[in-house]
Amino acid sequence: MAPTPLAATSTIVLHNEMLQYTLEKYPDSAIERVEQMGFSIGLRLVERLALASTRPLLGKANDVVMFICKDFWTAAFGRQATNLRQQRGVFYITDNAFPWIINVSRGGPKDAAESTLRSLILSFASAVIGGALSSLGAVGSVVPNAHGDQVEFTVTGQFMA
Amino acid sequence: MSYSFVIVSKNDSPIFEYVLNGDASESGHLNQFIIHAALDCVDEAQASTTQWFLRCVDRFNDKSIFAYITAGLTRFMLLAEPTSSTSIKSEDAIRSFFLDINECYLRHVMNPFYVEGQAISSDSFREKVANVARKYLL
Repeated sequence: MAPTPLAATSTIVLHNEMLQYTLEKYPDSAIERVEQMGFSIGLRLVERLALASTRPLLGKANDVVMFICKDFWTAAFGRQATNLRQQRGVFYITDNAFPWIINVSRGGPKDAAESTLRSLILSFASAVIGGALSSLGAVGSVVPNAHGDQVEFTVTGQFMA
Repeated sequence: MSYSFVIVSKNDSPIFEYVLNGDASESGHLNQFIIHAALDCVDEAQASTTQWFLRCVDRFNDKSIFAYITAGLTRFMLLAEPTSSTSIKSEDAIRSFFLDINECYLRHVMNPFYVEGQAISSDSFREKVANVARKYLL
């Protein structure tokens, strides 16, 4: 399964179009659908990545989260996560310039549509991360928290070891 | 040399089964039992190593069970039973077998219509497994 080169912006365009389509067609259940999609995408991405990676994966929580921050982040978002903090079993993964959000404006009070898209992108991203974690044996939740272009994901859950 | 190959999902349910060279009716049920019992040993081995290939996790009389775990915590179990003619293949051959099966499994899982934990009923997957088994285990 040799990787084919692909323009980075094409994935962002694809995501945005998909999210907008979901918003328009299913305004009530958009978030659940997007989360389901993200979850299964995360699962598949991890299955694919694990064959290629040399990093030890199974078992320890630290190994799993390191893999997420480095290999998985590079594959999904094009770069490594900026910061990882751990506090009492809860992991905080920070990305200073989250690629999926960087081109979407924050939206002020008069621009409600764009900020909905922003929060949808964040739920999609956290669902993808959640799917990856669950595939590696972690049972928990990923909560996104955005300040401008900097996004912090709070990962709580139980790992296998 | 007869082999029973089972893919067990993360929730301990079998999603695929394949028998090579063996008489499925005669010892089929016993083999399934043995493989199921070996799942505990797989869990133990999983905790102790960071490799995908878990080698021989269990033995029952003269049958050995080899296991391999994927990233999504799906387990490939291979039960090897020596018959009169040949001896057991080397661990390297079994490891290559598992790696190739992992490739086939990966392609199958990439299908967006595949729900995790569902039985694999695709004929082409079965054919691929048969080819890989013939290549490494015969």
